[in-house]
Amino acid sequence: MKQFYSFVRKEFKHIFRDKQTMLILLVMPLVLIGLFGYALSMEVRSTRVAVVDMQQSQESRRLVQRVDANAYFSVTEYLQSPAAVESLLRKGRADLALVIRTRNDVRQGKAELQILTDGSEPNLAQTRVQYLQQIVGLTASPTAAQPAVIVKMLFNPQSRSAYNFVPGVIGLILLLICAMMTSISIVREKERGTMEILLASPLPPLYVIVAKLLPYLVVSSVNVGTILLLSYYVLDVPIAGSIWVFCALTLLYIIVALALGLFISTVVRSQLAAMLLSLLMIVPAIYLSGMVFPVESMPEAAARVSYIIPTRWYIDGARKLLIQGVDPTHLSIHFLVLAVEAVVLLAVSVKLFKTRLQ
Amino acid sequence: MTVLYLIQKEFLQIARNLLLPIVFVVLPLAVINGVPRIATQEVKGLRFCVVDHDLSTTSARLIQQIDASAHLSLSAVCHHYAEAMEAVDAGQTDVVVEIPPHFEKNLRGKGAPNLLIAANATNGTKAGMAQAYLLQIIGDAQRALAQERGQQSVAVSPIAVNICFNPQLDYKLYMVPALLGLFLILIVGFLPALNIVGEKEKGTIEQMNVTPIRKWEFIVSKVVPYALVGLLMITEGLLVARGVFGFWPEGSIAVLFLFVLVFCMLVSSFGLIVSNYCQTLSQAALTMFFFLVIFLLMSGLLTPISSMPEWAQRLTLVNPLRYFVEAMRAIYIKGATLADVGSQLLALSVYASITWAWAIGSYRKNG
Amino acid sequence: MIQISHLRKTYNKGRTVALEDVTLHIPAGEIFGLIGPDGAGKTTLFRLLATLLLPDSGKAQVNGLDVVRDYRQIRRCIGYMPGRFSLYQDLTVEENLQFFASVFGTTLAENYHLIADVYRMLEPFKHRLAGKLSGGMKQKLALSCALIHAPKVLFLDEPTTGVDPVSRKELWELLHHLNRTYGITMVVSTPYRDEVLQCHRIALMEAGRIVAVGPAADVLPEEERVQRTVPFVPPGEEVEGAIVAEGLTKQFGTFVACDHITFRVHRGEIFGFLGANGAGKTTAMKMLCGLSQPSNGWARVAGYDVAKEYEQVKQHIGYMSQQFALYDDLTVAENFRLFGGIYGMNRRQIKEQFQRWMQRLGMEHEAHKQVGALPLGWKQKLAFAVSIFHRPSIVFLDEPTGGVDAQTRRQFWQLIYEAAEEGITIFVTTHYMDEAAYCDRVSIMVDGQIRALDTPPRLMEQFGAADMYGVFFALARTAQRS
Repeated sequence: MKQFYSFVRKEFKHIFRDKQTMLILLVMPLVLIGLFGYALSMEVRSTRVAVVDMQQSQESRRLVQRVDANAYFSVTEYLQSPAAVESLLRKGRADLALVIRTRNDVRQGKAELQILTDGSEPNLAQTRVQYLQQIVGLTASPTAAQPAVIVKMLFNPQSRSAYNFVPGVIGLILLLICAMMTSISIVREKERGTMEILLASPLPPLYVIVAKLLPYLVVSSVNVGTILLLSYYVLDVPIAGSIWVFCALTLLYIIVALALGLFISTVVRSQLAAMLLSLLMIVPAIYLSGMVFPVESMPEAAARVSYIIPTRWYIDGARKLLIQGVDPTHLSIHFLVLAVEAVVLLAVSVKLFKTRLQ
Repeated sequence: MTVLYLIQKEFLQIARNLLLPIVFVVLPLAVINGVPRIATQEVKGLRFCVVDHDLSTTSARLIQQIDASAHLSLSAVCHHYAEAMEAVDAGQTDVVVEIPPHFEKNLRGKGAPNLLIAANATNGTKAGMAQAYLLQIIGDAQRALAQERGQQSVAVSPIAVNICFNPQLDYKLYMVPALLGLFLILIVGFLPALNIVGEKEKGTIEQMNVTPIRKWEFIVSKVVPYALVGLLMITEGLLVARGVFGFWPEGSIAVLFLFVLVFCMLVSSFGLIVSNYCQTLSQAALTMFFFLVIFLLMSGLLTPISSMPEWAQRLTLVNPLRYFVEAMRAIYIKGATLADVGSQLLALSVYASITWAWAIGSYRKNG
Repeated sequence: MIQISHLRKTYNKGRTVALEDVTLHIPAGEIFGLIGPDGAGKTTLFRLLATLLLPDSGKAQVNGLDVVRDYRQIRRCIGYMPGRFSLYQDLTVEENLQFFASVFGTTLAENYHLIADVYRMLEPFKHRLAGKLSGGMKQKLALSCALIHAPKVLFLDEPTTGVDPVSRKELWELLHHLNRTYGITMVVSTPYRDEVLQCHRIALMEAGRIVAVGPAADVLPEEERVQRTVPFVPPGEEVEGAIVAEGLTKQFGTFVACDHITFRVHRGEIFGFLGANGAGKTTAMKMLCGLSQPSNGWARVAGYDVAKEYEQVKQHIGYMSQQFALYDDLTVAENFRLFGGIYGMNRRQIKEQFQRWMQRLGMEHEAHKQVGALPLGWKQKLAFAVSIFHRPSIVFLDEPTGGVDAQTRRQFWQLIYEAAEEGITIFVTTHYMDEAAYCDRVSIMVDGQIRALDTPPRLMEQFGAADMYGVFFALARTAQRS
C-alpha cells in the first residue's frame, strides 16, 4: 500500500510542477462557464430592422413605432425603396426589413406588408419573422374569440441557455482532462524511458494504472465542484434532483473517461499520437453528444452512433437530474450504459497494458 | 534560394508521416459531409403528448392537425396531467398539450377556453420553437374553424415574407462556410506550432539555429507548406459541399480565397507565438486548445453574435475570428462583394500584422 | 547466478534477428562485461534478462528463476539501469530516490549503507530537480535508484555514456565496492576500454551472437591507434587564429557558467576542449557558435565578432550537437540536400559532393534509407559529414562520439584527420581521454575557467602523468562546483 501511496504522490507532483498546464486546467472551466452562462445563447435579442415606408400614413408610422418599441427590435435604417434592402442585408447592416406598400399597390394585388429577412442564420431568421408577424398581426386584427393559450416553460421558465449548457460543459471538460491528459501522461513515461524501469520493478501493473488515473480523478472532481458551485450561485442554474445521484453519475462518467484515456495510452507510442487520437475521439463526442446540437435533430445514422458515446448519456442524464429533477429510476439506462462501457474499456485496457515492453 | 530547401524538407516530412496525409484528404470529406448534418440547431421531430379532457370532435381535429405538422408528432395520449409529466420525466415527450373540458362548447360560446402548452425547457431553443409551432397551428386551426362556421373572419392583413439568400432556411448552408474556417485553424494554426515544439523537444532546432538561415526563412518554411495544404483542403471542402449538398459560394471565389489567405497568415502566426512560449508538446496543445475554444465560441460560429448581451458583443470586436466567420458567411451565402466585406478584411489584416510582429519578435535564435 | 542457453530473439515478425543462439553462464559475484558494436544485441539481452522482453526460443535464468515463468520474483531481486533517461526530470533528487525506494517496498533509510558513498556526493543537491543536474550527477542518481532495494543482480546498460572521466572513475569505484562488500553480481555494457578492462570477464558480441568469452585482457582485441599522417605545424603569430577568445564570460544571474576564458585556436588545428560535466564547455561553445550572447569579453570566430556578427559566423562554421541532430524521417540524401541548400550550395555541387561523401563513408547503399533506421555509429558519422558538407573553415563537435563503440570511434577520428588535412579547423569536446590525445592541442576547463592549455605530450609532462586521464584527474580534483 505504501508503494501505491508514494506513486500517487509522485503523480501529483508531476501535475503541480507544470504550472502552465495546471493553470489552464483550472481556469478553463471558469472561462467556459462564464462564456456559456453569460455570453452565448441562441435567443433572439437585438434585431436591426430597416423600414421602407412607402405608405407614409398615420397607421404605417404607428406600426413602425410599435415595432421599434418592442424589446427585440430596433429600427436602424429608413430606406426609400425596397430595391436597396437586399444590398443592406448583404452587407450585414440590417437583419430584417419591413416594407409597407402604398394603398395603390395593395389594390393591384400586392401585399401591404412585406418582411424581408437575412436567411443566412436560419434559426434566428425564422424566430424573428414569427415575432414580427405577431407584433404586426396584433395591430391588424382586434382579437376575436381566440382560445387563450397558456404557455408553461417547464423547469426553465426563462428559457435560459445556461441550463442547457452547464451539463454539456462538465461533460466536455471531464472528457478533456480524463481522456486526453491521462493518455498523454502515461505515454510520456513510455517516451522518456521511465516506464521501462517501472516495468522491471516488482510494482503490480494495476498500481501503475490506478496511480496514474487517480490524480486526474481528483483534478476533474475539483473542476466539477467549481462548475457546479459557480453555476448554482452565480448563474442560478438549479440543482433540482438529488445531488448524490448526480455525483454518482459523474463519478461513473469520470471512470469511463479515464478508462478511455488508459485505452488510448495502450495503443499509441508517442505523446503526439496520443494527443491526436484523443482529439479524434473528443471532437466527434462534442458534436454527437447533444452538448450543443440536439440528438433529435441528427440524421438517423448519426443518432444511432451517438448511443455509444458516453458523453451523450452523461449530458442527458445530468440535464435530467440537475434541471428537470427527475426520479433516479428514469436514469437506470444511463447508469447501465456507462457502467458497461467502463467495465469493457477497463478490461480491454488492463489486458492491453503490457507487463513487458513491445 | 535557401528557403525552398527548407520548404521541400517540410513537405517531405509531411509526406513521410503516417497519419497526416490521410488526415488532409479525409478531414474535409468527413467534416463537410458529416458535421453540417449533425451540427444543426434545426428543431425537428418534436414529440408531444395530449391530455384531452374535452374528447370532442373539435379537440380530436386539433390533435390531428398538430400531428399532421412536419415538426410535431404525437407520442402519447394521457388521461391526467400528472401522467403526462411522468412521460416528460422519462424523456418520452417534449411538449404537453392540455385541452380543457368544454373546449368545444366554450369555443362556440363566449367563454375563453384555456389551452395549456407545457414545454420541457431544459433546452430553451427547442421549447421556444415548439411553442411557436404550436401557437401557429392552433391559430390556423381556429381561423379555419371560424370560416367554416361562416363567422365573419377578421381580415388579417396579409403579410408577405421573403427570406433572402437562404430561402429554405437550410442550416447546413449556414454551417459550411464556417466549417471551412475550422480546417484552417487545425491545419495552419495547430500543426506548425506542434511541429516547432516537436523540433525543440528533439533538439534539431539547435542545429537549425547554428546555420545561417534567417528568422524569416525558418518561419516561412514552417508556415507555407501548411498554408498550401490548407488552401487545397479548402478547395476540396468547397467541392465536397457542391457534390453533396449542391452548395457553391454566391460571391466571388477570388474574394473568398483572399480572406482565406489573410486568415492563414493570422492563425499561423498565432501558432508560432504559442510555440515560442511552450517547451513541451502537451503544453503547446493545451494552450492552443484553450485559446481557440474561447476564440471559436466568441466568433459567432456556433451561436449568433446578435444573441449575445451587449458587453459580450463588444468583446467579440477584438476577436479576429469573428471577422473571418462573418465575412465567409457573407461571401458564401449572401454573395457579398469585396466592398461589402471591406471592413472585415481591414480588421483581419490589422490583426495579422500585429500577431506577425509578435511572432517574429518572440522567436529567439540568439539568446 | 545467470544461466543463458540457446537464447534467440527476433523483431518485426522474425525479419530482424537481434539475438541468435546465445549461451552464457555468469557466476554469482562477478562483474561481467557485454562488449560489442551498436546493434550487436546488448540492449536486447539486458531487456530479456530484466524480463522486459520474451525470448523466441531458448532459456534464461536469473538467480535460479526462469525469466518467462518467474518474472515477478526476478523483478524483486534485480536492479536495472537502462542507458539514458531513467529518472523523472521534474522530481528532485530526493523525491526520485524516495519514489524508487517505495516502488520496491523499501525506504531510503533501510538500505542507506548501499548508496551512502554516492549519496554523499548528491546530498548537496537533494532539492534540485533531476532535469537540472549535470550528466555525471544524473547517472550517479540513476545508479542510486537502481541500488536502493539491495538487488542481488545489477544490469547496467552503458551507465557512463556522456559522463566525464572523474565521475566515471567514481562510479566504477562504487561498483567495485558494492561487488566486494555485498557480492552483488553485475552485468555491464560500456564503450570505454578502461572500463572494459575492469570487468572480471567479458563477452564479445557481434550481430546478435557471442563471439568470445573470457577475461578482458585475453579477449579484447588490441587497440589500434589513429595517426595523423601530416603533423600539424602551428603558423606564425602574425596570422589571425581561427578562433580568438578574450575574457569571454557568460553569467546566468549570479552563476558564472563561463568565467573570462582566453584562448586562440590556429587555422587547421584540431583543438580538444575538455572539462568535467558542468564545467561550462557547452556554454562556451554556444557563444562561439553564435547561439548565445556573451555577457562580457569578446571572441572572433573565422574573423567575425560572435556578439555582433553572429549571422556571418554561422555562415562559416559547421556544428554537430550532442544530441543527434539530423532529421530521422528524412533519407540520408535528403538530409545532405537540406543542409547543403541552407548553406547556399547549388544542386550540382550538392549532388557531386554527396556522391563523393557516400563513397568515402562506404554508404552508397544507404543513401536513400531514412536516417532513423540506421545504427547510432553511422548516424554520428553522417552528422559529421553533414556538418562539414558545405566546407566551413571551422567545425564545432560537441561530444560527437558519445555512446559509440571503439571501432566506429576510430573511423570517426580518421574522418576528423582527413577534414583537418583539408584545412578545416576542428574544435571538439569529448570525454574519451584517448581521443584527447589525438588532438593537436587541448584545453581543460574547470569551474568555468581554462586551467590548462597545451599539446597533450607537454601537458602530460607538466602534470607528471602517464596519459591524458592523469592530467584530467589532476585538474578536475581542484573543482569546487559540480
